[in-house]
Amino acid sequence: MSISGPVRRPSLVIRMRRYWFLYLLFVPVIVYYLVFRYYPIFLQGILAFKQYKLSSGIWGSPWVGFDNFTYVFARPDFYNVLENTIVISLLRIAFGFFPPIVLAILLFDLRSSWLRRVSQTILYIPHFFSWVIIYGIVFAMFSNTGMVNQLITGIGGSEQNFLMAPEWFRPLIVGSGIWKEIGWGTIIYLAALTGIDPSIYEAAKVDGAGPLQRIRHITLPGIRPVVVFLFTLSLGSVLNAGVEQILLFYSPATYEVGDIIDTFVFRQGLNQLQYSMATAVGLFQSVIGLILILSANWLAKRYAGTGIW
Amino acid sequence: MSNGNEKVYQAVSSAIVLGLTLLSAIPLIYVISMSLVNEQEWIDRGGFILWPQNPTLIAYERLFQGTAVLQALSATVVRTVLGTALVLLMTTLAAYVLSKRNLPGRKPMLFFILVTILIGGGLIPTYLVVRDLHLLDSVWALILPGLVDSWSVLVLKQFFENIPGELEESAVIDGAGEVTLMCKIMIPMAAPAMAAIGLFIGVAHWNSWFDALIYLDDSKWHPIQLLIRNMFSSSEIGAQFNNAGQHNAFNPVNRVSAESLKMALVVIGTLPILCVYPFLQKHFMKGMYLGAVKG
Repeated sequence: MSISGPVRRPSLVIRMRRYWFLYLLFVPVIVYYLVFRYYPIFLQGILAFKQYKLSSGIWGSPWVGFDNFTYVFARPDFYNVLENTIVISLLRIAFGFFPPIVLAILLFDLRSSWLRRVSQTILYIPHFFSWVIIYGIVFAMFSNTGMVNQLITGIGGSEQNFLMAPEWFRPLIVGSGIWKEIGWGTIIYLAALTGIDPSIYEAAKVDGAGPLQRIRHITLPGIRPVVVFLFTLSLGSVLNAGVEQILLFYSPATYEVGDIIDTFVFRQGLNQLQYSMATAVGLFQSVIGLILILSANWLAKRYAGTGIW
Repeated sequence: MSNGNEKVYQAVSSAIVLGLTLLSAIPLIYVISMSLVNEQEWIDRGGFILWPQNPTLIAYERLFQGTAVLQALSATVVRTVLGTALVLLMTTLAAYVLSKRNLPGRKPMLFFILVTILIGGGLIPTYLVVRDLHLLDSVWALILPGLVDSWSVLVLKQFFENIPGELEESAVIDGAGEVTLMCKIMIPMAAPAMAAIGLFIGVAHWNSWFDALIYLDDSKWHPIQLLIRNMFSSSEIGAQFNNAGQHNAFNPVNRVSAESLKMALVVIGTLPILCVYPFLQKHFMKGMYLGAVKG
């Protein structure tokens, strides 16, 4: 920038001393990250290869190589858990990914601004509810005394045990997830839609394009990068199938279709105190998850032009 | 021709949007209505109440007669206020420092924080850290593990970076030191963004229960969400809150169904969220659209 010839930069030490106050401010942040974020990562790498004994602690417990992993992979129920995790994640993507896109386009095109405002206000609310509350609402709707069963028996049908029946578990999980997030999910698309140059729409109108042509040739291309980006991102997190929600919704009657990696780790680790085995599963999940998210980012960069970083 | 299409399209999309809005609203109305009836009305109407005929606060009265709900609410208020204040403080520190473009080592410091968005230690190792720090069964177990939110650091850092550099330069020329610059100029400028982030962090604290499930055996610090979860799985909630000792305890008019008690708990668990919702909505609509404009 300077036009008066090269200026000698002060040495690093001098520059750093000028900012000593800022480094001081950053110390608590560093301490937090080391203790609560980095140390657990380190522990995960250690504990997964040890046989944790309560009496000898983490450091005194013996190394066992890959024993924890071979033990887990020999358990038939683990494959069931793995399958449930992937199936539930894919169901969430298959049924939950597109509704917010459609809703965003409809909201964006609505001419009645009061309908848009009112519906947006209501549709965003469930996003801010905890999963406990969502479970409460699902209970109100689908329990044996709930609204849906009252309607079914009211028209002469027979009561369905929605909350305990394995065949209803996944529809309820996926459905209530969509119910919670459909409104919130539109926001990012609405932001992308407002970025489209209005004059393109004007020109299309002059050319006599109808609403469907408009959507196909202007709206969809306009949000395509965001769609591709979010889609690859969601593929990157298929091993995280929503632990809080499932922990609330599932029961021994529905383990078979609902037990996922995170709930398995929760039960094996914290209820059965199998720390090493649960940590090994956690490490497996972390490593696969990291590979997935890195590939997803690579794909997003390649096909959408935007990655996460 | 295309004008007719447009009308059809507007009609169809209005109908779909209206339908989805009703699908969102009806369960909420049903929950509120169910919480406002006594056992008599519940029996009379076969448990299907979209609008109460004789609204009563009996479910709420019963819930607040015991100490459990009040204790859970006060525990939740403490963790939410304390947690939000500390997270906001730490997040602001991190974001402010990282927004200094000339700071030597800024890149690795940023990287140090962002890595944790991608990888984490998982449930058990984090639990062991909290246990070994003797934080189990204390309110700190609900606060310290989430003391900095990496995403919020990114958002706030960007906000600090967008404050015009001239402001900082003129302050430095006027002789402002680093502390004055931060406290008197930069932080007041960022106050709206901090308020927005604080609201979101506050909502997250109010809503959390999983950490309490993991870290607290003792129910002293059990937050309201965990209490609600436990009461939903309890089969004795009806008996618990319809105890004898009340006048005419077996008359359904003086009783409240387990369903109504549960729905009243759901309303209690969401009421603060609904109170701050208008502010949230203002912030996220504005913030999101601004973010999009910037690209």
